[in-house]
Amino acid sequence: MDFLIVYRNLPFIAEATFKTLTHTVIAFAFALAIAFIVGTLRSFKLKGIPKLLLDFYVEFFRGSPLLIQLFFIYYGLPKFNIVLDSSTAAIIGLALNGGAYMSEIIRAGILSVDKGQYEASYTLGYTWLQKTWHIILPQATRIAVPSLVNGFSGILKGSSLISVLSITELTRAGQLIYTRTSKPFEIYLVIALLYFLMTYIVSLLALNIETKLSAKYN
Amino acid sequence: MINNSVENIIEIIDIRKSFGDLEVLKGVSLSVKKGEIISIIGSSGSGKSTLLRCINQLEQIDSGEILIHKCSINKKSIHRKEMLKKTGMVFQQFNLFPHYNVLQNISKPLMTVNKFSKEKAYQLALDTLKTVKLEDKTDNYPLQLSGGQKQRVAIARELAMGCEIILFDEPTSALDPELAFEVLNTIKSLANSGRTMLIVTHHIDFAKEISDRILFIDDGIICEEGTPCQVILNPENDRTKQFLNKINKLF
Ligand SMILES: Nc1ncnc2c1ncn2[C@@H]1O[C@H](COP(=O)(O)OP(=O)(O)OP(=O)(O)O)[C@@H](O)[C@H]1O
Ligand SMILES: [Mg+2]
Repeated sequence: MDFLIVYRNLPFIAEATFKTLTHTVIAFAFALAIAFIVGTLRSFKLKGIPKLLLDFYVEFFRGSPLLIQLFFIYYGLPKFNIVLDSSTAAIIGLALNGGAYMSEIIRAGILSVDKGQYEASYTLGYTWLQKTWHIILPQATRIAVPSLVNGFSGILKGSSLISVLSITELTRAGQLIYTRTSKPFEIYLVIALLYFLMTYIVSLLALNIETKLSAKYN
Repeated sequence: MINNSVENIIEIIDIRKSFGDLEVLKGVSLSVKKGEIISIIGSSGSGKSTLLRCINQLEQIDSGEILIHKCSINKKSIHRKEMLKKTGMVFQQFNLFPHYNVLQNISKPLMTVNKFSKEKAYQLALDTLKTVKLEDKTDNYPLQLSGGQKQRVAIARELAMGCEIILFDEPTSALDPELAFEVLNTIKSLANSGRTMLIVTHHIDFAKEISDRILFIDDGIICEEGTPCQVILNPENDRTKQFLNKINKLF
């Protein structure tokens, strides 16, 4: 075993890890925004075209492979003169895909809020927007935190696929080092560990947030 | 006792309400004077909650009319929002906001709905908590309170909002007798505050003591109404007699 290979490529790996993280974090931020908007709208009894569109979005992005979605956005959209650089295409793909999954988490969270909360806020004179923002979403979010963190891990692991758009993130860095050195065992072991470490830290963070939240009112 | 010259704050005219095939309110009419305290009694499923919920627009009536301060509160009325702000509801299940502490449960609605400044809202919330004797619980979250304390916070929340009319839907039914007693005392202490109160309750003694008028609802209509003496001690209607007998055996 020759972990010296890894050591020699450390700056390269660090740079790639950073790329993985930046793409994931930015995509996650957009995915969260999408999830809250789409999840809230879909929890509300929509009708007609808006309902069809949102249902289609969620079902389509959950029902087809992320890899194909990335190819479609990067290689397919230029047909309509939408030409994106690889990073932008990757972030859009990850965000749309993650947003579709996470919107279902938010929707489930909203549906689990007790009916009495709606009635109390209505009785107190809250408008629909005030009720949603001040009363329903905070409670739905609290329920959703653990699953949303899973969503982050999902996007992080999914970001390995953006290597196909020639973005030198962690997975592609691994391939490049492997072709240069022919040491797949060492390099892929380290890369898998790096992914694991990142998702593990995030789940610890989530546990921390959860304990803090439930200490407050559980 | 209520003076006859006082205006009617609520006027209910022949309202009907069905859920699917089940007609729950079968033509209910009722006038309530400002400051009047009315207890509503009746067996389970007779439509007591539905009546309160219609007054508060949690349910939409099928026909008839509800006027508050002489303004209609049907969906089309321009005064609807304004009139609804004058009514508050205390639920059997309290329905406090679990993500707010006690002080915030009262101050946040004041800030959000009544646009109070934070200082003003906190001050009023504190003052109101004193009237329900919970000023030492300001920082607790609802889950850290007893049922009776929760219900007193819920009452304080409606008081702070400045509701002229408070609807109580079995405010003590989820509570042990001891805790029910402390909530009933809180409600009694409001009796002379000039607020109009409609109280659905199974505590006949409490109803007798506090009410200006008692309604007995059976099968979707007001079967009997009158002063506590009339309805509780000398009921005329057979169904009222039966109901009171049953209740007396239970409690
Ligand atoms: N949202 C609803 N959908 C369908 N049926 C309903 C609904 N709400 C109430 N009902 C029915 O209407 C009837 C009257 O209900 P309501 O809650 O007004 O009775 P109640 O007098 O308050 O009884 P209780 O003392 O048990 O609270 C019941 O038969 C109930 O099942
Ligand atoms: Mg009821």
